[in-house]
Amino acid sequence: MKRFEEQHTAWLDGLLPPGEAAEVAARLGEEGAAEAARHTRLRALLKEHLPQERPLPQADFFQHRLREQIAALSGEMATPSRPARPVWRWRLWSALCGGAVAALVMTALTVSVKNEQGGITLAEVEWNEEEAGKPGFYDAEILEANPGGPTISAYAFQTSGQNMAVLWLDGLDYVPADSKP
Amino acid sequence: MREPSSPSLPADDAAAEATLITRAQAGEHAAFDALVTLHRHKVYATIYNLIRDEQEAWDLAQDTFLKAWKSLHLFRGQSSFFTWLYRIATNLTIDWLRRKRIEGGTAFDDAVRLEEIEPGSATAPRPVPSPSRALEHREVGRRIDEALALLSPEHRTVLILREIDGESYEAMAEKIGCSVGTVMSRLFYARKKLQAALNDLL
Repeated sequence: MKRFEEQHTAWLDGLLPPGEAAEVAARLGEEGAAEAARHTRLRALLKEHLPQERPLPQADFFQHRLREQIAALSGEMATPSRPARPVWRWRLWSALCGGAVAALVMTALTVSVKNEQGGITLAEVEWNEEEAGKPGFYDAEILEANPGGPTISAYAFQTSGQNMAVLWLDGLDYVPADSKP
Repeated sequence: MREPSSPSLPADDAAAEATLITRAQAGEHAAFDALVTLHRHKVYATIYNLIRDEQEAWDLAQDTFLKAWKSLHLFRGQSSFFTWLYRIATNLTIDWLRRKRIEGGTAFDDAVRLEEIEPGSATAPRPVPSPSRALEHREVGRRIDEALALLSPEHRTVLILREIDGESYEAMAEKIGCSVGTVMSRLFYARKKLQAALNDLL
């Protein structure tokens, strides 16, 4: 025996056998017919106003992020929308990136000395002479850096009262043994 | 189960989609990317209609396509590609709703709502003067949004799956992980509540 709710639901959906449906309709009387009409109208309103397509916010970023996740799953770095690059171009790009990283490492190791000597090319540190030596005031800012890879990042910060700026590099696997300040 | 309604593709488009699917199944990322572009707005709408939360719907749409990519080799073309995506999206969304319910400790209980609406109660219109024809289309949409937001996620889920997507009771019960009777009962109360909230439009 179905509960009232189940029977009523199946009746509205037209899924009751004819005999049972007639029984429910008779029991509900005029109100049943009115409710069936309201339900028809409700269903039509829902279908009309609930879009089956809805603009996806930030659709480009959505695809980009999905590509990254799929590439990570596949253990590949290439994104699916880009055509495969020729091997020689990849090797040239790697060599350039490697050179940039090496130059950045040298800069990191020599930055405190260069502050006095001047002339940093790859990563330039801005120095405020007037305020130098005052506790807690040592301006250091990376004006330009080419870390050479998405996993490598560079930060500059002060060490209070020691007249020294620190260039901090994250993401390097190693520092070349022949790099000396 | 009736397939979720989606605009049927013209023959040329259907053939192009079939080609994309074959290429994606062969591991071609660009082909899958094109399939995502074709279906992302529909998948997002399917999820959003169920949970009414843009950010969560966005994330679940990501999960849907990621799962589709992982399972692409299982797609045999027995249904349309969108129907297949739709099943993944609704399953993930219902799982998400279930986890959220457990984490939030807000267990859904039909009985809580029984006090609000008697099973045999009529949903006769209250004396609200404005008839539906006097309202702008946008205003009606806003009213429907508000009314749906009043429903519990479980009530909203069965209502949308049934009224918009045309799912059978059995399919809903399987997805949600409850009995067919529970699905029908939830549908009963969801309809009653929605009719009560929108009675001046009906």
